[in-house]
Amino acid sequence: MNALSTALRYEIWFLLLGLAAVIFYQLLTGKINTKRLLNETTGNRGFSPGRLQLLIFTIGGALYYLMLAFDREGPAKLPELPTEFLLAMGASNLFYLGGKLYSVLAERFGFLSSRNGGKGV
Amino acid sequence: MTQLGLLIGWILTIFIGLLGAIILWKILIGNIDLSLLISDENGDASLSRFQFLVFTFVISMSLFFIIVNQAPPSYPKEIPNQILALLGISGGSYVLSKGIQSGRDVGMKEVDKEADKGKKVVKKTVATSTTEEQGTGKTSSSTTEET
Repeated sequence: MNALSTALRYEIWFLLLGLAAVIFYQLLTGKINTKRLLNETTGNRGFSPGRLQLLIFTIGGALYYLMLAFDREGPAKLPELPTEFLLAMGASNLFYLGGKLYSVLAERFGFLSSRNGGKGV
Repeated sequence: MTQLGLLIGWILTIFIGLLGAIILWKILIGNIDLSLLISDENGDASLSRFQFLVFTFVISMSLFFIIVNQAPPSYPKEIPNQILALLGISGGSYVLSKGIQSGRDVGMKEVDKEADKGKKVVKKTVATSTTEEQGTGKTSSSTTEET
């Protein structure tokens, strides 16, 4: 039973880490499409600061959580996240969504107003 | 009975291991294409999908680490609400982002349709006025000939 448990442990680690490594490698080499990851999807499709801050928060948050999980001692329980962290993550996502909504609305109303000869909608 | 359980356990372990190894191998040699893993319908990379991917890996690895770190290995008795909230924020952001994007695409299609209709009306008007002008021209010339 012990041998089976050890084999299963190594096997799942191998699969999880293997998949993560393959995806990370393909992201780095460009095999997985990352074009316009930090660009607006509307308008002139320029660089978007909202997307950059969300990317930083996502990677930072993920590393922080991994650190909490691997440093943890005590009962079998996933580590709890501080409320401030959740609020920051929520605010970051809200900022990104707000920016996206704004650019969509600006594009639509800008288009309509240009059709009406700049007289507004 | 224990022997049978052990045997089934080994068979399942070997089966899952082989399946995982084949999937990894196929990804490596390019038979399984992951190029659009974090892309949306337009072919652009999607930040929401990337965020979902990162959180999925982080939480699955942490969960597995916690399970195997106990002696004997055991599943956590409870999942903290904060983790569910984090996944909820990520998933909710993805859904809202898709909603905004599809709303924009539908809106732009409608605007394009209206613009096309407008162009057709203009073309029709131009064509009608040209025909009318030609008709008037013909009449006047015939009148001149008659005179």
